[in-house]
Amino acid sequence: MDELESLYRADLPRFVRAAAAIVEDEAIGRDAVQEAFAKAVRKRASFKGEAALEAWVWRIVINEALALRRRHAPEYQWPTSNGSAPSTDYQGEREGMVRAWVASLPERQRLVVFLRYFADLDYRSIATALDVEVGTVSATLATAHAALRRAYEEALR
Amino acid sequence: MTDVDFEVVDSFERIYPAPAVKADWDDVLKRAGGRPRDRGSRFGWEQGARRSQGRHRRHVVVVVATALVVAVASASAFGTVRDLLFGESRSAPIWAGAPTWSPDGRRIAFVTVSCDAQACNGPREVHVMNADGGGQRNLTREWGLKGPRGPAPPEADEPTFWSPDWRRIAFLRERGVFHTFADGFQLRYADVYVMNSDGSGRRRLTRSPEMDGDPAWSPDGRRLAFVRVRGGRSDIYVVNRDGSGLRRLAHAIAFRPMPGSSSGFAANPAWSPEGQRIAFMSNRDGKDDIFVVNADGSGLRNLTRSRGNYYKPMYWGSGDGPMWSPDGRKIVFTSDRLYHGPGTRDGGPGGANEARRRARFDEIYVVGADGSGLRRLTRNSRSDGSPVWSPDGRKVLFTRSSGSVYSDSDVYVMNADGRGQRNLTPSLTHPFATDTMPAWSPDGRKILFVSNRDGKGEVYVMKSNGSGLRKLTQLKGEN
Repeated sequence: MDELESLYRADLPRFVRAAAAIVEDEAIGRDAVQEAFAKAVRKRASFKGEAALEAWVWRIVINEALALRRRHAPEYQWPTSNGSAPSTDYQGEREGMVRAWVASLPERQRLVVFLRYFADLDYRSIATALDVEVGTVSATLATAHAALRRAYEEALR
Repeated sequence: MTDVDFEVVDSFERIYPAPAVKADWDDVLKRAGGRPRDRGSRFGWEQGARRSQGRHRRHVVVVVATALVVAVASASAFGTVRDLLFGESRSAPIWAGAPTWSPDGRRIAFVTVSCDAQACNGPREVHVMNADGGGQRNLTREWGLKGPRGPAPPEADEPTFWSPDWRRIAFLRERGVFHTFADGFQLRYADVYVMNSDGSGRRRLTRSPEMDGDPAWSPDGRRLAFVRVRGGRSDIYVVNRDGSGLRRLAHAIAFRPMPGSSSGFAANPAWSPEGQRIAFMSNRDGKDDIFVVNADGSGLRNLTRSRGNYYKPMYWGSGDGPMWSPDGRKIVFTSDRLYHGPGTRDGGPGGANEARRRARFDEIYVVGADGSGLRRLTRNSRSDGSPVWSPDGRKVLFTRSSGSVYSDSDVYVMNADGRGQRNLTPSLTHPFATDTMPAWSPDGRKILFVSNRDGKGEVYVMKSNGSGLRKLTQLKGEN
């Protein structure tokens, strides 16, 4: 079995989860992953092997998800039946806060957080996937954590 | 990992559950082979997408493709990356703004501006519709007017200048250029006009030496306050509705021209509810402060007495001018004074929080109309702005943005003492949408706001608790 195919079969849920988080829609996220793997298959020859294949694929998936989000952004529908009214229970409030916090993150922080927590990638793979230095990844995560802690403290006040 | 880290992972698990997806490697291979896909048959949501894809794609996709490459690879500041990703790419052919209710709550007026990928420089036009979104009319065209063009951010709060009873409207008319900056940005002569809201009885109210603007009707509709810009400074004036009784009340702003914005007008005069006083923004004492002056020019008073020199520049139309409480006793306003100046807790220039200061996180403040009881209502590392008192004076609507700019924002509500802050427009599906320009209905039961969650700036309405959200406008393309 091709290396790409085994990566696909082994880790599809992880890819879809991160892509869905980026495009905010599971179906579109799934579409992004399918398309990204198709691109990976087509561009396989250009993969030089200086980084992990997985990180290379992650980069394609992320780019594809971001592109799809942009393309379909005008047509997202507001969920009228649920989710629009702020919840009042404790857990709901926390979730709402985390949600707002994630939404409030600058894009790079958001991607780094997604890749760390959804994709469970290590710092080096995240750096490769986003084409940034490892130091940038750790600094970005630190910044994101600091922002989250502030958000929590604020909510707890 | 800290507790916070565990908690966030825990929350992520609930918010973003692991999807149950079936592998379909054949589909991947087919796509890799370049087979054109019938996207519309795959997902229901794409049916609608097709209709409006053409123009959006031109503006959005090209920009985005470029921006993504730059943004994802770039190690530049987060703000820049975000702007690249969401600022330009969000630009839409048309943007609604400044929704306001008629006094009886039965109609809604709003402004539109057309935009290209870079800016919203198209003509600004006034529209009116029924409170349910029906019966939409373009008044600017019915009036036979040509909407003013001019640089404005997508969030621009181009005022509609309705008189309190909606029987009259003030508007600005430009004539000729009086100054051109080195970068080509031009300043035009502008005068204040009034007419009946059916378009009749049109007359010029002022003849400006350079620019008149920012007109504000007195509560009884008999007078207007406005800002007159001349020779690099701006002053607050009042004039009667018939053009008589022109009078200068106070010097407001030493004009600091910033190409791309009309900051010269940013004095934001606001009448007190009883019509005796006018609050405005001014740097006449060298800092940016809120002042109050009686409508006869007496009793000028600095309410905020800033200590720092590093106040945010005042953007015309940021919606952050002073706003009186319905009982006339307090004024809310927006400032980043918390992060500025010697003696503030974050230190002066070069202090530990230089970066935060530069980021200009705006907070909402309240001050007594007599200058007493200055108090900060919000504190966080986002930009809070556009505070609006509820008609009963018990709550304040405001916007909270994700960073240092007025984008990616939500509409919040809080009690007048700053407690109980709550996001009325939280969204997982549109986390990057800009929800802005909130406006209470006269009875305080509904809230209008503008959102670009559908790609264009449209007017939405919701109940005052955030439920019952509804989109009222369906703006089509360029106007």
